[in-house]
Amino acid sequence: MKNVILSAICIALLSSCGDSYKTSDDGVLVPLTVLEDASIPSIEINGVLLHSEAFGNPSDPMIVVIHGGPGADYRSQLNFKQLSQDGYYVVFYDQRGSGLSERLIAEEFKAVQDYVDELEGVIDFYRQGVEQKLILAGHSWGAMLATAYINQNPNLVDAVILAEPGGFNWEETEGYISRTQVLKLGDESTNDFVYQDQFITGSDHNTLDYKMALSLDGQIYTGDNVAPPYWRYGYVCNQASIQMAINNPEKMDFTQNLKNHESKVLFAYSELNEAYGKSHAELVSAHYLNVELVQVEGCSHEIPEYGWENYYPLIKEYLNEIL
Amino acid sequence: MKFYSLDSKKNKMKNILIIAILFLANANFGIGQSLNWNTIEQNRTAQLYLNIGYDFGATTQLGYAYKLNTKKPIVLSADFSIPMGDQLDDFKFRIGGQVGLIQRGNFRTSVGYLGILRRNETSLVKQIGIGQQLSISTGIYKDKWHLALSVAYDASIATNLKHSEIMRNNYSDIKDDWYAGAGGQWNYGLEASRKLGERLELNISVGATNARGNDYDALLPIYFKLGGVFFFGSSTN
Repeated sequence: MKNVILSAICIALLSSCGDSYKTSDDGVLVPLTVLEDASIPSIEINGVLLHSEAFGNPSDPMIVVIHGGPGADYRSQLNFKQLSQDGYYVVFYDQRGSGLSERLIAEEFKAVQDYVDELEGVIDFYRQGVEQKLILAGHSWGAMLATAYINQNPNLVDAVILAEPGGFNWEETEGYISRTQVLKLGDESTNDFVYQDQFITGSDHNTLDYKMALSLDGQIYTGDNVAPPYWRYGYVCNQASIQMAINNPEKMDFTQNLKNHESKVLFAYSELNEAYGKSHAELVSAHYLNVELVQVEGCSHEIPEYGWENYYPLIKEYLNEIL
Repeated sequence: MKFYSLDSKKNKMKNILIIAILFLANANFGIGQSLNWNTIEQNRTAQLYLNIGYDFGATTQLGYAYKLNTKKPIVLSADFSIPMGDQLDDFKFRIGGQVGLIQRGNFRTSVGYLGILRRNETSLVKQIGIGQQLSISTGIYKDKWHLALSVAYDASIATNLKHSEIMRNNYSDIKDDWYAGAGGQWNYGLEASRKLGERLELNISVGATNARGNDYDALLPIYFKLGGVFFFGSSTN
């Protein structure tokens, strides 16, 4: 028995030494953020360094692209760059705590208002003047955030392009989430998902963001077979933001002033996302006064990445009509 | 939120110290097979056990245990478990033993050690983990039943990560390699058994898992095991 104990102590001691990687090491499992790599394009908004880029002529009508999540990034939205060749100034940014933007601790995700203020800061940073047309293009959570901004500023946005927002109040959002996140204990992908927790644990952003990336395998119940391309997920951002919504569901209502936004909104839903569908699209889009509801063929929830071929002509037609 | 730096020297020394103290104190990380020491001592030397339940996934576990002829009761065991699914690419193999240390009437305390090899494969990564479980159980052990409290720690010693093209397309500099001390989970729970005839026993274990230090807990931080034991081999009487 003594030998067994001594061997175990030796294994334990050896395991704590050596030159092998740690999951918390910078740059080994997830890319560096703007804080560690100064070569990544960034802007500072409200004291937080954000990964951000803009394409096109800065004086053209400005499209601000708002990614989903919370905790995803704008890599899957880059098809919007094509609009910079059509006479639009296209702005991308990774929201606080996600993508390649600066990481924040959970306590710093206090209110949706911080996201709205951040979006306002990004708009102010890039916009040449109030006469420049402003277009918001949001996907999923990004479409909810765009709507939260419009709810507070119904007359400041000239055109709105939304793709499958979960909902504009918590009841709608919760209903959609419950249809997309289903754990089936006999299922291979579900077991793969939960099995990983015994291999790696952590509380640092590098480890947690990596674990979040691994969790995407097989958890795509929105009809997408493969998760869209990304730079780096923000686990703390994602979890803290969801908790923030659960704790304050009344603050997830973005509908009070939407009827004051009179110009037409392009509202897209996908053909293949069974958790969304026409009925949910009609329910959510009804909060706007003037909506063009469109189904994007041949894709599921990740419309800007996998449905661009059909989404792009709809956007072009809408923008040509409204601006 | 506090951050737990896996590579800080202070924490490394603290970890070494904690592990050493727990070893020297004969504390036992990790929960092994649920054993009724009274049953074992009055029964056959060998046992086959089959468990189903939730252990980081809906799992099925098959194991073998053998009681040594020693002054203090020692049971060596090995088991193999797989999560449910349509692919046999994930498993956990454990080998080790438990020692009955203290007995005061019907109250007994035992400790155990298990070495672990586990594997998980998805479309994103292949993970091979080498780890160890140490556990301590204490409770009432009667001839036909037992009820005990268990505390265990499952520590990852080294984890090999090999990423797929999907992951590499998202981050081309991602490193395929061994990662030291990548995880740890505490287990706290209850175990119980009921003997059925001469050769059969039913047992159940339930409890919670808790990630080490300030690490975030598992998505489902629980475990549950329902099993049956078949005794065979020579009689220990």
